[in-house]
Amino acid sequence: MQNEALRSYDFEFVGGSANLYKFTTQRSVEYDVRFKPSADYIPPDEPWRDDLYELVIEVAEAPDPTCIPADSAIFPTIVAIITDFFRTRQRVVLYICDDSDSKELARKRKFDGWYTRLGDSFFEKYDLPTVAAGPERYFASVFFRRDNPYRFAIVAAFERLVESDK
Amino acid sequence: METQHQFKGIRDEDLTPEQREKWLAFYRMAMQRKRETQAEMQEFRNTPEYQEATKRLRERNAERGTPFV
Repeated sequence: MQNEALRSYDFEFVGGSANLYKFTTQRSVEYDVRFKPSADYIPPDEPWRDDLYELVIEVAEAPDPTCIPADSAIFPTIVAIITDFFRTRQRVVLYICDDSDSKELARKRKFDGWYTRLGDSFFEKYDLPTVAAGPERYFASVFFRRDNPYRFAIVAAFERLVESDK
Repeated sequence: METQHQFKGIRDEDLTPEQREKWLAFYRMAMQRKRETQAEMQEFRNTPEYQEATKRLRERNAERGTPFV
């Protein structure tokens, strides 16, 4: 019997320049997962900057959009999608936990938990600093393959990110 | 071995007040961009390529009898 915690949903790559995948849950909630090109976060002299994408996860359609049920198969599915996105070439993915519904800490914990369960054999995760100001609280991470030849340069560039006055 | 190197991440307690302010500004800008991306994604749902992909996925899930793989 398949371990319940490892089950994942089928997904479809929509294609085109949108870099968008989608999947549907057993409760008919449709999710979109997009990798948006984000080279402009990084100074132009970094050779890997064109491979930087921001990961955005959205509910596209739901029977009751005001009540999205918890579902243990969502994160394995997102991990499978990220793996597919990295399969053909070296890429760097920035993920900033959405704070619009005050569930940013839960999202960070889920991503951290999945990274731990992956055994970090394929991906490397680099956490950007947690910053809070009043009700605002931001968590973000950068993912790249362990065999990325620019991995040290990627980390150094993010460390320098706020030192630039541009 | 180099491939076993672990990056530690930037710890917020190591930030100076000035760096913390800069990170805050970065995150606010990034969240604004994220909202714009979410709006683009909503528009993209009306495109034929998106609707075709939705159809393909629904058909596959219906044939299998489950959305799980």
